[in-house]
Amino acid sequence: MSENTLNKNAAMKNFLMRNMVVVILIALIIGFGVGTSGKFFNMANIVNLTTQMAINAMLSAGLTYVIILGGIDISVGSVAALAGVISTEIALMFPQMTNWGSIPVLIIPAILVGVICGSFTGLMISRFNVVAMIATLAMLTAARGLCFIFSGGTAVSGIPKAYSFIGAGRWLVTEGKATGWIPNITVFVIIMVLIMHILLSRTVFCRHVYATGSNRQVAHLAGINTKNVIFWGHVLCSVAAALAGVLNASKLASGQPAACEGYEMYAIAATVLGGTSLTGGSGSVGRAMFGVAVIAVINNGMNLMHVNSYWQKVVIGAIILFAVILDMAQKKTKN
Amino acid sequence: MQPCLQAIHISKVFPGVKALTDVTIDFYPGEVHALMGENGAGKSTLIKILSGVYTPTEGKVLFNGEELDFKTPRDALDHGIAVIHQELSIAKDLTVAENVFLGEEKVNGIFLDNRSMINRTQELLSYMKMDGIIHPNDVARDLTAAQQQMVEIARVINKNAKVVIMDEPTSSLSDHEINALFEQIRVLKSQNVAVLYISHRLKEIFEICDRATVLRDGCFVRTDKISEISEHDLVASMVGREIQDYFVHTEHKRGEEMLRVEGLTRKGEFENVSFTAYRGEILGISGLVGAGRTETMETIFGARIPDSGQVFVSGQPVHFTSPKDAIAKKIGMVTEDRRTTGLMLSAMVKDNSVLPSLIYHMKKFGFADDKWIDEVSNEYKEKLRVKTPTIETIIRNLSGGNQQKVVLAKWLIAESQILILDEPTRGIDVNAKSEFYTLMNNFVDQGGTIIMVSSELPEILGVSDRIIVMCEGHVTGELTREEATETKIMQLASTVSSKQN
Repeated sequence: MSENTLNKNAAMKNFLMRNMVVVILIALIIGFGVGTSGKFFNMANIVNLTTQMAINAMLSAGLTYVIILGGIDISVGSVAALAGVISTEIALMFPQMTNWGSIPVLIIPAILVGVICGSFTGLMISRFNVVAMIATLAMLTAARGLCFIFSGGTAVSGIPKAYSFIGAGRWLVTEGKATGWIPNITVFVIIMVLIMHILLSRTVFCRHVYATGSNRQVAHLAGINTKNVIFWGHVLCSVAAALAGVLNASKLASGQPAACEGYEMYAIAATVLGGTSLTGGSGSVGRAMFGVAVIAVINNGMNLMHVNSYWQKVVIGAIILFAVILDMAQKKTKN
Repeated sequence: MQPCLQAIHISKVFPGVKALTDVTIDFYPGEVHALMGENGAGKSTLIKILSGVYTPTEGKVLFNGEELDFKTPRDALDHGIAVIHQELSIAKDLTVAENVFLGEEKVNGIFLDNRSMINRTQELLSYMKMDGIIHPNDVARDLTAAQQQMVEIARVINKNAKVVIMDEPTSSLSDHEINALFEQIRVLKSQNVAVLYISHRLKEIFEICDRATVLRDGCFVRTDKISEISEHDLVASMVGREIQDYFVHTEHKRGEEMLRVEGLTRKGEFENVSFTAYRGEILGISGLVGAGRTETMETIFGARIPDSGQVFVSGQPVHFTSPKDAIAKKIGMVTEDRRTTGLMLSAMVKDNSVLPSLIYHMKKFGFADDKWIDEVSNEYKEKLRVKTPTIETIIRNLSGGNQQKVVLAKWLIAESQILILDEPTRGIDVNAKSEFYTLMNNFVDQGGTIIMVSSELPEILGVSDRIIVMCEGHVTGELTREEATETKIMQLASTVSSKQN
């Protein structure tokens, strides 16, 4: 074989490896398209799919920061639920709220909950050198406990209708579709994810995130305050998680203390599938969205094909393993 | 005599590079064979093929005349080919005996047979004349780097290796420890083991090796008996051209005081260290490994906090609590080990180049100035003549010398006025060294200050304007360029011990 074709083959293989998630996504879409005899491609289903992706997209976007730092956050599901509970409790105080008035009732509690939870885990990890897995495991348990305390153990209900404007509302009303085509939640999440993507790819802070995750010692010796970087990474991740939580509450029009349980696994799977390395130093919010899409397509497709939802969990478990193996394989080709 | 290991017409192609072209070398039992060449000459690739890490694209490896087809390093080890890597590969939390038997533990039924492993380790250590210094039950972490290396050698002897490959075994050893290592190499030799010895240090090659093979750009250049070749010829065939003197020294004009250190102390590492560095000079810091030089430099740079003492920059007292503070005062530090503390290996050249400077070139809302990053990275790529396809290349793929240039570029871009260089040319080849010295001289000519820690005496003597010698945490002397000789430095570098004795 000539050197040239050898190069081309290697480059091709490299390209496929790097974009494996896209290949998988396309294969899944075609597979489910055929498997459901086209039902999958129904416009309503596609729109539905985007709302199903929304929560995981927010969680994964935040988690990407922490995983690039070489850490992990398994508390995102609990933090999301806590924000949902608190936001709905606050919503109860404003029975007269308007559609647009619901936005601060969603965002302000989300930011508060996110900053408080994120600061706590961030502080534990960056200043007291607690292993990220343990610190966020503690937060996972504690935040879940707080959910039940604040909600009194039952779902917060009787929330004003306007509260669901972002989570369940739609716009672009046409004939025959009086509820509207485009879900507000999709628009909201696309904007948030875009902001987080741009922040992560273009700001100095985020270059420092990559540097810290890539080699903490090198970053420290280059004058970067790595403790601060790790701290703020966790705050950002928790704020994103809390935003996901209020969106979920708005979508369901109730504050469930048991909401988002196990969502951290979907988020980790999506992030890693999207090519963010679990060892830190590389990844991107944009690519994590492909991972989010893969998981949403699998769930949606299996629903359409009436696969038992317990089996869906088994499949997601397998996907997580597959994603990690893929990550390791990529490492090997890099070396 | 029959060669025990033969590389026959070996070629190895990686995507985009031909690392080896038609290399044929014979290795005989009981000989120490030096493998020489600049970085990128193909030495590492060759030893990886010989030890089963890579499969050759063309050609074959013969072991005692039989063709070998190694699938994994384990296969090679089972045949008696062992590698002692530059980075030690022992399990630091296990004991000496456990390390010696790692992977081939003796068992008694289903239980470990600790007693016989400890006894056998004791035998090995006495054979190596290391009994009384290393005990089988010592935890590896508590041993010095040199002693850990001895444990690796004990492991190799225990495995009955026929071929031992040593990849820059002396890079972290002091002169005294190197002598101890050579003793062990002679032991291996007496057992008819073939030793492949890779080192950049010519002095060692002439001391311990019997024959030397030179590779250049992946091709075989020559194999000679050490007794029949001169140092000059060896270097010339490595670089492919005649080199007169690769220590470039130009006269510098010493200016005002830039950095003054007074009574700097960190208990157990160094005590009462005082010296001054001036604008426009290269101040060499010499001493044996373990003299506290690196620790002192890291403390000046703010990576460690001193117990007592004071640092002055341009006459002003400073109190650095992190490298960030030192960088703000225009101090840069090239660390001892670029792979673990100098570079983000899996990041691009440009990301590495601008890392400390990003914060000073921020646009509105904290956005990074990508245009500036590209411009300045390209500018320094040209200025320092970094051989890289683009500034977007992953830095892991560059040779050691070019990686080191990027580390330097990093601090030049950060506009450092005082550069601390810790073993700046370790593990880089002669050509790259000479280029690096030129860059150092340029920096000093433009009014910079360099403080260079080096364990290589010829380098200290060849490059420094003034030399400070440290020993066991103390400054034991200061020499001008004119008065410095190898003997004087060595005397100062071991004074404390002799006083104590």
